[in-house]
Amino acid sequence: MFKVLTFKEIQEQLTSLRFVIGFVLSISVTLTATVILTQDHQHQMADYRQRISMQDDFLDNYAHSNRISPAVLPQQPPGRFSPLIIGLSSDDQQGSFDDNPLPTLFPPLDIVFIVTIVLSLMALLLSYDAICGERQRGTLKLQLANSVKRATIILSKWVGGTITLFIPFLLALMMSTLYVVIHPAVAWHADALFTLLLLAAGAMTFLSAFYLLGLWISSKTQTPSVSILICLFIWVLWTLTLPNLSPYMAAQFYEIPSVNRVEKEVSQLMGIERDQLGRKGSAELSAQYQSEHPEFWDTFSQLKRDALKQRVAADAEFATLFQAYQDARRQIWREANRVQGEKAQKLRDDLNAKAGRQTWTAKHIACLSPYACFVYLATDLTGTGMNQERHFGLQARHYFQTFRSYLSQKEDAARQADPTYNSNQFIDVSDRPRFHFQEEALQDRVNTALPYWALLLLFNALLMGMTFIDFLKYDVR
Amino acid sequence: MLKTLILKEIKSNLTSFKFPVISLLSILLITTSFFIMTRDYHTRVENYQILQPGEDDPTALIPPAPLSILAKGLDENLCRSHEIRFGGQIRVGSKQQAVNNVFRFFTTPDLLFVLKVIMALAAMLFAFDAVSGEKETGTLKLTLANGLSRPAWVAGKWLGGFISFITPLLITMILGLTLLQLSPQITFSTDDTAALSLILFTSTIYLAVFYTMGFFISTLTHKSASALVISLFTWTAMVFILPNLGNILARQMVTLPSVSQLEQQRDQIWIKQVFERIQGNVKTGDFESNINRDNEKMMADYRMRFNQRVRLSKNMTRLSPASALTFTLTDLAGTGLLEESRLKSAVLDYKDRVFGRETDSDGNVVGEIPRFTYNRYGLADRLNSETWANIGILLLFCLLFIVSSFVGFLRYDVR
Repeated sequence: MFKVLTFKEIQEQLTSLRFVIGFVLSISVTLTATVILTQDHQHQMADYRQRISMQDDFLDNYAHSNRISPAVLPQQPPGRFSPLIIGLSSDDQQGSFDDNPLPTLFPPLDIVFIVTIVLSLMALLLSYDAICGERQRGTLKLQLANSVKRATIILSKWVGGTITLFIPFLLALMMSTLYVVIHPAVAWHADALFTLLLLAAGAMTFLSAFYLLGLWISSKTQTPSVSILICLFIWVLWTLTLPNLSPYMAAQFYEIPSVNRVEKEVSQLMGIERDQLGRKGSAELSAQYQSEHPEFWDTFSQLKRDALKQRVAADAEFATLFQAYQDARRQIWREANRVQGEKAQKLRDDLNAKAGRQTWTAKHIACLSPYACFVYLATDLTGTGMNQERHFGLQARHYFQTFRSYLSQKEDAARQADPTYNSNQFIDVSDRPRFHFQEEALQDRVNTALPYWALLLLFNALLMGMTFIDFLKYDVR
Repeated sequence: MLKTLILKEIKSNLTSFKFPVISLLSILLITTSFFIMTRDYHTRVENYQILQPGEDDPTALIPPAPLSILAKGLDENLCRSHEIRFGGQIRVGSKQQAVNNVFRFFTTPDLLFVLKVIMALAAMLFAFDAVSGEKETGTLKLTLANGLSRPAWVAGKWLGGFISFITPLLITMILGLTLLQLSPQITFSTDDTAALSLILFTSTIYLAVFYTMGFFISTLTHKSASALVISLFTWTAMVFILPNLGNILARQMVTLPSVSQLEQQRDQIWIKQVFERIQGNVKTGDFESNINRDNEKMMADYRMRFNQRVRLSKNMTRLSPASALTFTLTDLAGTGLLEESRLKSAVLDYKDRVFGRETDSDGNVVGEIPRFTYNRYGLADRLNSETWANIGILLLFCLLFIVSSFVGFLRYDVR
């Protein structure tokens, strides 16, 4: 009986106008968005390659250790899944005079949008009159009069309805995946397809929750017109209101200091104040050498670079004093960097801690909505979300540490060859370690996405429970 | 007779289930939006006061716009600090929201969003069964059997329905705006107050477009369920799909380097010049002007292509009433593309003034640092040809759907 009812449900839905319109809309929009986003991805890859090439060319001509950090910034390639899911763009994060304001006015159109807006709406449209509609038509009491269990009816409606709902989604996803796989610009391997499988599972859980919402409201109301209004009311609150309000509500609970002000203070600490500290120490060192080694100081302060080099090569005593002076000077600047760096880090840590609390609160408020849960699940699973940015940040920091040790060795070697070497001279870094961004492992991405999937399953369980209870009490006459 | 029809429609809506649901939704969302956005505005004003540049600080900074409470638009971008550094470099401060990534996932819940997305849906829900619903209940043929003309019936139905829908919304909005005006912490200029009336007017036209669209769909169908499905998917297409598709299509047609690439180029420009100066290849007096020249050259090409993309995007997305409303409301509030473009020009002028100060014979700057002054566009400037064109587009849509509804109903089978 369950099988019969399920097939009946599927048949009815497949031949309805709402399914046809929803099917056409979701397939056409998904394919159009995928084609356009794949081209976008191609442009972004070209841009990424150009940045790497520009970096290499620049460093081959102008690399010097005093100002090398901005020139070796790790470059993040576009995500593999950006043809399907836009997520968080690294360009949005950067404050620039020339950033594009249009994405602020018009949010992105990708598969997350299709699932969370179009298909969730379709889920409600397929289910809002599942119970009250049948009651109005009189078919519900006929079914129950033939000793069909209420549990069987509700279960078959849920299974039949969700299968119908999954058809356009899975078809759209498969067609998009096929397009991306055959496109030469995107490299997808087996693990990418596995990720998509998990994404599909997450999407189906999300859509099932909205189908159950419609089913539940239908089992609480007597007429479809009332049912659809309540469904849409809840949909608006859950999808369009609560997630959008969440970061603003969190900002009221946890205020953070002015980001600009902290940036300015850090810039002041690591710029002017550090230079003042370094220059003060250098001046004291110079005065010390002037009083303790006047002959050396007179010679050193008068000689030009080439002559200094010759003197260091010819006079061992002079070379020893020169080396000691340079080492002491470097130590002064290292100390200035360390002292100021600690103060700056304290400010950054304080800001990050407060921002972290606000972000955590915002995320959790938003998770009261299945919409937000799916957005986090989809973006974290495909490496286009907050976790990816954190992962990139960790890799970038690790790269800087590696690069710093490499640079230190390079400088030591340069000083061995030329004791007069200073940090404003060109240094050949063509054999430097390169930054290669490693995407987060699939296992880690799945672990991050799992709690959101669990929440979606919880929503499903709650709504299913409430639907059962209300349908058991439903007056079918 | 028209008056009777309108009153009948209003009474019938007042006693229907959808009226309290939609009115409750409107009141809840509009008041929440006002509350949240007012708090956000206060936070941004406090931030602005903390960041006020000192006497010797070459920083361009403007306060948040009071009307950003209604349409935040690009105000967060506009209110960033623009510091003029050596060589005429412009370093932009981070947005306050930049540290909380959840802001980047979701849309700002301002009045613009509530009207553009949610109230548009509510308008269509109010109207989708205007004709088909009456046909289903059998009252349509009875009404027309009594010698009532079809145009009169449609006019009465439309007016009565729209009045029932828009009245609680307008009351809530006017109350909210009055409270804002009376708030001592928020100062609206005369232009802002006048802009408020235009915002209300444009919003009403926009909602009339969607109401009429729903009405028109109702004249095409014979079942409310079908009208509902078509209305919902039309709303999705008009509000979400068309504006965004236009935007991403414009991106394909005019390619630009990424922000990351531009920033990388900027860093390379100043590092190169400093290096060349240390090597003695560039005179001390020239190295900053070289940085400025190279940056300007890079930006000139970028700006031209960027403006091309914005123009294309605007023209392509205008096919959707939602885009027309976005551009109109943000421009009227002083938080749109118009203001953004003007501010950027003002910052570039300021940069030239800071950079072009007097220097002594050694090339050291001796002149005082000028203060950055900026006033947002007045009402006359906000009401430029583009704004009128957008309002015109909305009126055209409304007219189109009204005429289509009339024509559709004249041929409607009421049996």
